[in-house]
Amino acid sequence: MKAIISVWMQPVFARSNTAGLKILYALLAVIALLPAVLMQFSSHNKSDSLSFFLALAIGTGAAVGLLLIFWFVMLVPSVALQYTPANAGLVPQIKRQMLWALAIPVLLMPGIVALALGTHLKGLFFQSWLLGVFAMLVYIATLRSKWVFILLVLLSQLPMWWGGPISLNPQASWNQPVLLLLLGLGLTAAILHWVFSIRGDQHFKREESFTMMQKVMNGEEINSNQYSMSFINPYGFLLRLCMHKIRKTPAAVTQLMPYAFGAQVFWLTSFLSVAVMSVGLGIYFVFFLQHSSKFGEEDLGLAYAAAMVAFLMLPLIYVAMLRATMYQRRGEHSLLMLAAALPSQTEQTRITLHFLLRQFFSLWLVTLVIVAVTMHFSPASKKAAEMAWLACFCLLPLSVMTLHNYAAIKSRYETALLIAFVFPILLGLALLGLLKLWPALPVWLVCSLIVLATLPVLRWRWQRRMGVSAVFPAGRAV
Amino acid sequence: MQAQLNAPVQIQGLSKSFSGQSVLKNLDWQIAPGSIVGLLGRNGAGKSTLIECLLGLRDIDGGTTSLYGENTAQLSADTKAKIAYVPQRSDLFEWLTARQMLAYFQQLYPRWNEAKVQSLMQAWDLPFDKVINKLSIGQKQRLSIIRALAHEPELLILDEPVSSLDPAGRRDFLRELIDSVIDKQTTIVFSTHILSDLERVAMDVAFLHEGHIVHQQSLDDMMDNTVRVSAGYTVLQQLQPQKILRRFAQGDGRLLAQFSAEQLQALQSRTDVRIDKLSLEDIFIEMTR
Repeated sequence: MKAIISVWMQPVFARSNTAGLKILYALLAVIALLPAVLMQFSSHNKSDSLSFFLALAIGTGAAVGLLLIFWFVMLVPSVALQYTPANAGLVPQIKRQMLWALAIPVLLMPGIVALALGTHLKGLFFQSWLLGVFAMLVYIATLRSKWVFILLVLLSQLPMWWGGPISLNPQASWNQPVLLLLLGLGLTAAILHWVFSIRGDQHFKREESFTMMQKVMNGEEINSNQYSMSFINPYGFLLRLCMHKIRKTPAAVTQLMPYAFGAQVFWLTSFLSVAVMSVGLGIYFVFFLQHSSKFGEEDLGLAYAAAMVAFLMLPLIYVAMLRATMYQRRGEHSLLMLAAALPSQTEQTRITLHFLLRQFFSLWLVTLVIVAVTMHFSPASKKAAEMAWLACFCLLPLSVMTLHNYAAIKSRYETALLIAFVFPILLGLALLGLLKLWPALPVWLVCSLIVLATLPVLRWRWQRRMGVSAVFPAGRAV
Repeated sequence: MQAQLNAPVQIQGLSKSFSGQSVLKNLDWQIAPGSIVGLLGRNGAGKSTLIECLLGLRDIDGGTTSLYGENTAQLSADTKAKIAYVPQRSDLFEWLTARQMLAYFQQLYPRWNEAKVQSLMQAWDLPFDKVINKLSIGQKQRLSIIRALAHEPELLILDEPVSSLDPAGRRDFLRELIDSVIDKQTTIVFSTHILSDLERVAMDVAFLHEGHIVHQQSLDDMMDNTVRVSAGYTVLQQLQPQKILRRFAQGDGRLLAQFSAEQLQALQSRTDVRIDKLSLEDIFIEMTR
């Protein structure tokens, strides 16, 4: 049992060794308190203390549930990490413990969820349990083969293609608790046996993927070309163009600097990824799901809204990943600091910060154009359009985050993810409050105020950064 | 004074600490042009930190560091062109192919020996069009060296350049590097904790211990003159070595010191002292214990 607990503790240790815990705690606190807070605000009559505590209990339960799911999601890769070539001799000895360490949550967690949702499931406890067990087993099976993900995607589409409502007649001979229980146990045994039947040389054959996983755990850069999206990555093309330009005009050599930070810092990379994803989703909705019995007009609208949200998220994701990326590229930038054709460290700082700011604004402007076009052609209400504009402009102050003192970063986990996500939400809520207080206030004026407030802050931040002799390479001042 | 100005590496009173823990303490170091210096120190002694501070890649808490007489924080283009650095991490620019990476750096240096690049790539059997991520650690390390040598530096600084290679790979690589690749006038500084590497290639050796360069000397001289003397306390007190490298605890009856050839000859004929010639490994352990 001690060994099993040790396996269970691995994701906890891995998580507590990294930063980002604050986000997790904040998120859990919000989830735990949300039902109680919503109840307080929504209820017209004064709610009694019993229902308040019930709501608090529901929220806490949901938070604990999420924490457990998060733990399980991390447990599986941490078990995979035991399968390093160095552990090849050790693994057979702890195989049984690892198997039980996975089997116990697989069998228990869906049971707890089914019990908690007992009243809503209308007696379908074992069916729900089996479904949960199956989903968790599929995830575990990805330890052995990544192709299982395709099965997962295909299975998720089944309800869309199902003709009529699914019949779960409790009287049906196949639908008996004992049979379902046996089926769940059998599936667990079979799939776990398959996952853990890696022997001998297979440890070494899988070295590459484990090395990659370890790099992720250590916060290092990974470059997998296994699932490469290079066909939509304009980085290589832009680099060739830039080189060509410099051969003609050597004075433009400073334009090469940003390429040392990789493709992620170029706005076009993020934009094209989302654009291709949106086109793919569009094709999927229009050509495939249109023929299914479950597809309706509202689904297309939903897809449309999802695509717009994805574009709106771009500036946010960009600033959130920027610090980590810059930290990971400190080695590359160290070499640039010593390059003869490049200017002084202060000038390099200016060029890099200017580039990053420009990338953010490009991404934000594209988002703005997409929102404008969408609002122009969609039948969305005036209120919905105003909300979309407001959301777009609430992202603008995030530009200040690009002008960070990267030299002071201590680890790649200093992403300021919480600020990047919470600040626009808080700003949006504050502005909504303002609009509720003064309904006559035009939204364009509010948006203009955001721009006017952001610009001096940007200018102040820029001057502050220029006062620091050398911002890069990241982490140099710690 | 002129010699100091021309010294490729000149460090005075360098201090650096991390989270209150002092790593480099008022460190002084100077390297003469054309020398090959092995910087020795135990794991965590601060070898990489010293190199990074020296190159201006880390902020320092105190002191001055200069390369060819210029403050490292404000190096001119001419001085930068003389310097090459091979970091400990070989996994840089991993998303590019070797050809792309070399072409990228070619733009960043006014002098670039393409013939040397071609010949080294061929000699070390490195593929031009393979993504760097897909190369082995040894190949990445070699590529990193080619990138550093391509602009024909006068000062080459390598941070544990062969630590990720196996012993045979290390031996071949270092021999090739020093014998056939490097120009005889190039000053080389390389950090290592693998003593066999140093014995093969270094002219001088510098020991980094407890934040200081505790000793720097020609490797041959050090191996010839350094001995461990065991004797009674009063006898040890009477000895007059050229330099005491380590005085052991009182009553231990041992001394790590350097003597001239004549002194050593005289000591060997005495019956009240015992002299042990030490290997580099023994000297390293005694000095960094």
